[in-house]
Amino acid sequence: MLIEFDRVSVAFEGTTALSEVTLKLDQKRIGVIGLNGSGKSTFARLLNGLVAPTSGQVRVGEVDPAKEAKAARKQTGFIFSNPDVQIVMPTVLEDVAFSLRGSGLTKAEIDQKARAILGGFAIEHLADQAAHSLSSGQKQLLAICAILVTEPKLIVADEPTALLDLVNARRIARVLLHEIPQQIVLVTHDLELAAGCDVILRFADSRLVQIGEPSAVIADYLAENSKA
Amino acid sequence: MQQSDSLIHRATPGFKLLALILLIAAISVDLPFAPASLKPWIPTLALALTAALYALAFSGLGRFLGQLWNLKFLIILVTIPQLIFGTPWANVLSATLRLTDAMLLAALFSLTTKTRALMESIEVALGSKFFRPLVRLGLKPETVSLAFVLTMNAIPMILKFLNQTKEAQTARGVKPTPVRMTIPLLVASLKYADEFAEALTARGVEV
Repeated sequence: MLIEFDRVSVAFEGTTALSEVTLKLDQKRIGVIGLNGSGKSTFARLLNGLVAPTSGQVRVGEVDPAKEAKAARKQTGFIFSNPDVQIVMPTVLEDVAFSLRGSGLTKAEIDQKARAILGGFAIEHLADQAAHSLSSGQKQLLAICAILVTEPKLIVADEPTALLDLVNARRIARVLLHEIPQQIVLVTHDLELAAGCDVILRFADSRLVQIGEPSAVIADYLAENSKA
Repeated sequence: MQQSDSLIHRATPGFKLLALILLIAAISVDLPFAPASLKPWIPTLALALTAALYALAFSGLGRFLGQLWNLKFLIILVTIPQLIFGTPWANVLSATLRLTDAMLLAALFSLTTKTRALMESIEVALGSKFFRPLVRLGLKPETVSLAFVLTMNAIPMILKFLNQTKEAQTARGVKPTPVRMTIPLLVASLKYADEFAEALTARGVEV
């Protein structure tokens, strides 16, 4: 799916969060790196209309997320760094099924679909467990399942491994980079994870400063920030 | 969470909610039709009935005793001020038993009721003729049922923040007190509410 930004700027209460971003992307795995406050998360939130541009236009496929919020959220799933805030229902199965509310499917079909997606990530045995009692890695997997069950075309993940230990971070990385068929925008501080993407965007001081091959962008990022 | 298949698990959420409201009302107020000789025993009998309901739902009293243990701080918090202010011990006992019983009954309801079934019951009830005027005024049954579930779901998160705040203050050598914990707990809860609202929006929930 083509992601297009045409001179997009975002300001919150007079502070510029993103400045004059213009780009066209259609790669499957898009990495986004940069220091804290560089504009990465604002960029990610523009993709499903959680943030609207102050000026300029965003298009994701055929949808303008700022004007067609419902369509944007249908085609774009969002994964946050803290899985706790993404859990709506008390049990694992109910939380995945919650994503299919209003889908027109019967209760049995919803349950079947929810169980199938949990089974795909080998966590079907957790279906009746209390969602808040899961480990952080399992919660993040649950969040991914709750998004994937709606079959979005694009996944946006904002620092999905930030709160995970090494083993869980690697498992989530493998899932996001290799096991899901969707196009993904991966905002991360984990350069190993970013290196697995097809292209990387680098943000600094609210501007998009570089787009390119992961190895080249990561090398420049490290060189620029090694003096700090 | 709700693996059992007891009579209580299988009862409809609407029936259980009604029964819960009636039982809590019965133990909270002075029943005018109850014989005077029985009245002092009502809180104790109600607790015995609750224990029996737990035994029926979970094939034993283990879960009942576990829930009772979870309420220990609340029981202490309710009992001590009454004793300090010189309330007669019989009244203290009666009030504590009534409150404990109400909490145990509410816990039994949530332990034996599937959330989705509960949401559906709330939506069906609010969609009935009785509530139609409110629906016409803009009441959305789906929003009410979701709000109910979100409130229930927020409880483990608030408890988590409470523990984190306690640990952080202890680690800094400060004795955690309710006054010291209020601000950090409030900040954490508000931040959670903010992030949670954003995640709900991202999941396509429009309220």
